[in-house]
Amino acid sequence: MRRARVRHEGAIHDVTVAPDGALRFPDGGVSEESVTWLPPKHGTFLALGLNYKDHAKELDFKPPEEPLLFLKASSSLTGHRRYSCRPDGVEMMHYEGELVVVAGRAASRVRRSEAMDFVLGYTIANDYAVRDYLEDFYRPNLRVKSRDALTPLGPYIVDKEAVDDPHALEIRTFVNGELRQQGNTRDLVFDIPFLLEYVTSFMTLQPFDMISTGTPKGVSNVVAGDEVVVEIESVGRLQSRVVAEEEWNALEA
Amino acid sequence: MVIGVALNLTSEVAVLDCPPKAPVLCIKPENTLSSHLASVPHPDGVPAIQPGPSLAVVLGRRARRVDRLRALDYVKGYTLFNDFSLRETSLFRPPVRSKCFDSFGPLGPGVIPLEDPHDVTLRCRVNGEIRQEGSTRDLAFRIPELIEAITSFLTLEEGDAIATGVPPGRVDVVAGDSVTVEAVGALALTNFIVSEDEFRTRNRP
Repeated sequence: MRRARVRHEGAIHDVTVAPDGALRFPDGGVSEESVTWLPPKHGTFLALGLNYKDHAKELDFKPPEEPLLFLKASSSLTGHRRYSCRPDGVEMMHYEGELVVVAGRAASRVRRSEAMDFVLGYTIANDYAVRDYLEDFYRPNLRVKSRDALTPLGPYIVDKEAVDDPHALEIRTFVNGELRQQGNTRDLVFDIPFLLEYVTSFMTLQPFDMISTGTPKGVSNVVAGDEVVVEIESVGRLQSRVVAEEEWNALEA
Repeated sequence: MVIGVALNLTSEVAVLDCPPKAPVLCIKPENTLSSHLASVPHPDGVPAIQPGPSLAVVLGRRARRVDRLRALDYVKGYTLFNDFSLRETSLFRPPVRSKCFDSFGPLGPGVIPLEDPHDVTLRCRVNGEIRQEGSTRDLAFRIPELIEAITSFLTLEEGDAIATGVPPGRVDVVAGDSVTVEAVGALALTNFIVSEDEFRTRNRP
């Protein structure tokens, strides 16, 4: 099953997405064109920094010995085919295509060997960062990563049954159609069972809480007007546009 | 959601060669939030945990791009937050494991108005004894500045809270201790530290 959340005629609906892309509302189908995609149903959103060796190297860091986790406010998430704001005057904003694991039931002190039983499915995040705002306190700080509507998420959650091996998925990020980032989830420093064991060693995850597993090598600057697509094998294709502050303010108003 | 502010006492900032340019923020997510008289776990394998007495500002409505001059219009009132943490050895990386154990964020016990939120004496008592004390007079970023800085990029919703800062001199507490955070003369928030096993038994679904 593919679960999405959309706004349609002013109301928010949790819908399923058929293989042909049609959205099934509880009371019948409707075309994709007449809805606004929202981030899929979600709870607490955790993300990983430096979780691919090649990306850690590209940023001049050693891969961490313990997962580098950070949290993002719900307000930082936005839907498929929406907009992310590039603040005026910044020098570097980059995309980060990431596989997101979605919890399916309450999970506390889960062992690695049973961790996958707690997974509902997967979705895609584009975990943009505005690097100009980096500071060495609680880095990456919220101002870099938890900005309103900075992070496209979706388009939908794919049930885990539809993904043969979450640790063998190609991730590709395209900017205006040009392939800029390519990696494979087999290169995760900390894999999904490890992350679930680690996170649930201190916090109880609830259904629809999410862990975004980090981005591979190949981040680069984007500018207003860029169309960015993150594609993950068996999961989907998440599209968004970078806009300047003025346009974003008008769109959000 | 509660947003905590680290390094927000003038005495802490004064000793830094390179003080933060913007408030140092962390998110206390849903699983951490708990209430007055709730138990808080002392996780297995760590010697102690540390309370984080803080005055919390509770938002009364959605706040987005708020100017400091109008910031207090968005405030519903004030309460206490106890920003429990494992000992922090570094502030370089986000303190997710240190601060996000279940129930590591008691909030309460009520939301009250304060004539001057920048003149509140904060105390932390462990088993009745005063162990940590400070004042919101010494906040480096004051409340209107915090609201302006946070909402310049992150929209806060009604009911969200900002924990404005923890006085220096964190103390260790262990299972068996009772911890009370006080806004002297106004509010007191008490919690009981229990072993991880006892916490799980009490909170079994």
